[in-house]
Amino acid sequence: MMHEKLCTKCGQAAASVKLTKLIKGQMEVQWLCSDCAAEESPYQKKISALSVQAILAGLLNQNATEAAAKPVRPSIEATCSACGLPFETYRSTLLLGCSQCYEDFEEYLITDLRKFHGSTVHRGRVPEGTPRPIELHRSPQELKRRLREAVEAEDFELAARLRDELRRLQTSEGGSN
Amino acid sequence: MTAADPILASDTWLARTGPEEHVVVSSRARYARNLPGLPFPMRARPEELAAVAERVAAAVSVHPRFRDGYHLELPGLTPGERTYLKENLLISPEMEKGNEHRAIFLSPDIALAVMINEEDHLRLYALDAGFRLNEVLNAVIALESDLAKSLGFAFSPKFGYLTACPTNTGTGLRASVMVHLPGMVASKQMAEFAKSMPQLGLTVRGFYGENSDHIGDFFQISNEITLGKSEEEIVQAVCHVVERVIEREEQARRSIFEQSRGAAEDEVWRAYGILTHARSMSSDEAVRLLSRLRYGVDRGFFPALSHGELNRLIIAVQPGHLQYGRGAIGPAERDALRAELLRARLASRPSNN
Repeated sequence: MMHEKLCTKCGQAAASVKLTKLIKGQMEVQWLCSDCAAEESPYQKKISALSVQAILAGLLNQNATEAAAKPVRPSIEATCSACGLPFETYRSTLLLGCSQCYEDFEEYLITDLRKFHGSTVHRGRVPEGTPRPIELHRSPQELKRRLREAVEAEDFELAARLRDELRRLQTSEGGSN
Repeated sequence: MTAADPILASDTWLARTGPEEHVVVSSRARYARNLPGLPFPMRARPEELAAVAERVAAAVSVHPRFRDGYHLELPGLTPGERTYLKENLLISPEMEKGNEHRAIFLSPDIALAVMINEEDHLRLYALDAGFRLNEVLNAVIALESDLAKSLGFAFSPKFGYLTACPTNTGTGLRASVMVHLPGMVASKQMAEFAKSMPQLGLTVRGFYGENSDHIGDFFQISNEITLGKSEEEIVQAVCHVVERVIEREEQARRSIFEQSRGAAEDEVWRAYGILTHARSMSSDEAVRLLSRLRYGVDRGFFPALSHGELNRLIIAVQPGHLQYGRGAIGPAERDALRAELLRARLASRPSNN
């Protein structure tokens, strides 16, 4: 197991940056945390958790807040066309009445599904004989997920390719989200 | 059937032994499924529930794994029998209520179960002793695809398998492992551990799952997320955490002994003394004392007592098991019976004193 180096300047945080200075022909090596590195070096920008969001938002060319799920309050009267379950009953019991509820309440359910699972797309097994739709593999959601992973892993080359693929997909689908 | 006839002839999965039994009691995989075109049970009329029960029974009763198995209709069982099934983790606390048109099918070896008309039309289970999550996943997948041939299940290409509660949508899979963690509880690691679970898409619950009390130091670790991940990814995530838990629990048990060997040994032997001599004991006390014996079994104090046997004893002292086949008995009689059972099962084992 590797030992984490501590910042040589503040001695508090884990060092993530190796800073080499040449002073009068003498090389001086410092191990710094990202905060101290930002102060020490003009080239070192402070990296925070926010920057992943910012890079993502930039790549996707959209407002970061737009990506967050907007809770939608459905009208009180919404009921399922098959079983007659009022949406308000689902709200209080968290139980749907039948398969049709998923279609009739889809736009509201999406918010809940994302809240419960962090996803709205099935990626598990499918009934035998069901062809797995190609789009599922390169759906916008899937691409965004891989894009986020690429940005977090700082693989910007892959991120750029995924971004281009995502743009192509969204153009061909009429820019749907 | 009289009260004295056991509803299950054979021992359940509990009689088997499994890997990592010193920490992992059992592994279980559950699929939630519904029939298309019929309302989910909470919304269904009695005749619709009856239709579900009939169609599922027709499919399950011809399945080879269920030949010579059990078909139990819940309203026909006594409350004691239902509690017994619940303590074996074969039915849920919700099923224990025994509403109309609810039934359960069990394979003769009790490794597979189909619950009918619980929250969903079908709940398919595969369970086994010890840490065998991949095996039970494969078993439940095989059962599901067999039943799908004759039943067909409600499915949407977008959301996957449709369930009454959207927290189960997608795979409908709950992969859970029951663990016994006296060391982590004693060293106060549980709260912090439980807090770290949601970010992994997992959860820690009590003995009987959702909204249940925790018995002794038993916990169920299971996935919370069912949508957006494959079955294998879900099981992998649970396995990964359980492996860490086994390490941490072993470490905790070791350090309890290293830090204060005398006191820890004294506690084990005191527990053993009470368990082998008491004349009346509540199930809470029995579970607490049996939990202490766990350290002693780890250390080889009781060569004749295995971790698996300890797991079985802890279930055997639960009220439903104690009362099973004996008709209705009062709490005082039950406590005396429990003490007698413990003396018989433990005192006869020569200890390495």
